[in-house]
Amino acid sequence: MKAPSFRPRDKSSGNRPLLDSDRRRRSVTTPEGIALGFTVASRSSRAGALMIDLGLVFVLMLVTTLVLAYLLFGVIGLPQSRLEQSSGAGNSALQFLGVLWIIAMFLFRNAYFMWFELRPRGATPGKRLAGIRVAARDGGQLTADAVIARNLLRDIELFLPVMFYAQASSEGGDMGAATIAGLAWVTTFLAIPLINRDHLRAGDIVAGSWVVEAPRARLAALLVSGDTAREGRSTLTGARFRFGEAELSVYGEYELQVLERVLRDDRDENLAEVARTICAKIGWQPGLGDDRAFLTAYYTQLRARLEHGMRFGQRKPDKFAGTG
Amino acid sequence: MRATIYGSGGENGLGLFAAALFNNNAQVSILAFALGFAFAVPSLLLLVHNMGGLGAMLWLFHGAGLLPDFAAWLMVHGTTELFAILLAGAAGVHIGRNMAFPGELAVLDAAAQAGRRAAQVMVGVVLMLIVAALLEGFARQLIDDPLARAAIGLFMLVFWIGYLFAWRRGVPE
Repeated sequence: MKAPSFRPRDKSSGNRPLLDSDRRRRSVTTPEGIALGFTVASRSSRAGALMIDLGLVFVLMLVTTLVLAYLLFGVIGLPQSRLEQSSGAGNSALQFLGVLWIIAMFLFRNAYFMWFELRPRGATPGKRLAGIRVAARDGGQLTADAVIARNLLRDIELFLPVMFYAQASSEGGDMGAATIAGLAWVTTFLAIPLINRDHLRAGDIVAGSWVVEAPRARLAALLVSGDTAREGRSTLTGARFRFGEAELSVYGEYELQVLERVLRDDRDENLAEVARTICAKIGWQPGLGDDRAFLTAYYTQLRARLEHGMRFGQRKPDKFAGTG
Repeated sequence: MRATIYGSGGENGLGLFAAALFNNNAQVSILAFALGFAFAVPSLLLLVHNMGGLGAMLWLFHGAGLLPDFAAWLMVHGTTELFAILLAGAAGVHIGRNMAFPGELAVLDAAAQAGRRAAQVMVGVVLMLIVAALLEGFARQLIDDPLARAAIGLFMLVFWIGYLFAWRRGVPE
């Protein structure tokens, strides 16, 4: 495991105060050797996410309990004579509800966080609302082991003092002592994310994970947009360019990038030359009047085809690669 | 005292009993695992505390001359359950030990490595506890013969030891 290199982003303008979001920037070298930028989630967004999640768990527990209680009263509410006749059936129904309740409470308490963090998004509903997610600190994959470890620790960080408190109150223990012990406990674990740079809580330390910002991803703006791209229509001549499978399959990603560069440079002689080459390659007649529209349409449709292939795991790096 | 070991409960309420036992045991083992974070000291205290309770029970039944029967009663599920709780404790100790003595690695890296490995153990522990709860809730209550109970318990012990040690994959270095 490679230790992540923690350093704030370089600030060339020295006298500008360092923003909090800059201070939370980290660069991690992944196992593949790529420098990956992260922004550690702020403590407030994590606290907010936790409160939303705990609220959700509480509501889920309450609703489940109420539904089961409703069913229970339905069983008890049977006419007395029938219940006596079938006391065995009533009893086993009661038992079944009890088993359901215990298992449901266990799952809400232990499995809620794990279930959501094990999914590809790596975030519970509260975390998603707060725009943060769990990630592995070494830049690698967030493994199931890590998610399990960080959430088992949650049990002692959050729920243990509550449990002791409930025990003390139900068994007539010393409530004052229970309060002090519970508060001391919670303060200790609350202090851990407050005193380290990466806001790691105890579970993160043990799991090798951290919580980072995951802003909602917006697709980058396309190089080409508008009528020409969508319809393949030339605004000069009104001609429409539609390319078939055979005409698009001659080029790969490398050629797409070259074409993109040509379009960005936007030099007429280059456009004409490239248009001629492509026409020769796919067997079209050159001199279509509007080279730019032709190339834009070809670029858009080639890109759509390659992206479609990529989604199905078929890549075509360049024109020499197989039919892809 | 004999009545507590034999024929208690009949066939009623077994499912509920099993679920409650599973819940309780799972929480104890999660606690044993998680407390490993504090350099494993509380994990060991928790195990000693629980084993102390077990010893007290053994002493009590020994005084009443029921030790073999009690042992058989306990073994049905105890071999699975105590094994699982010991594994959870071991997972906790593994974390605590690696944090206290990280060796070549940075403390954070050592903790992360140990934590992930121990979490894998915990998945198995939960599965073992489900088996233990089923044994405790059903097998123990339905079978009254001490020899049969001991046989089940021993079989489970052999099964787990065989499963965990005889067919284990190579230990990563």
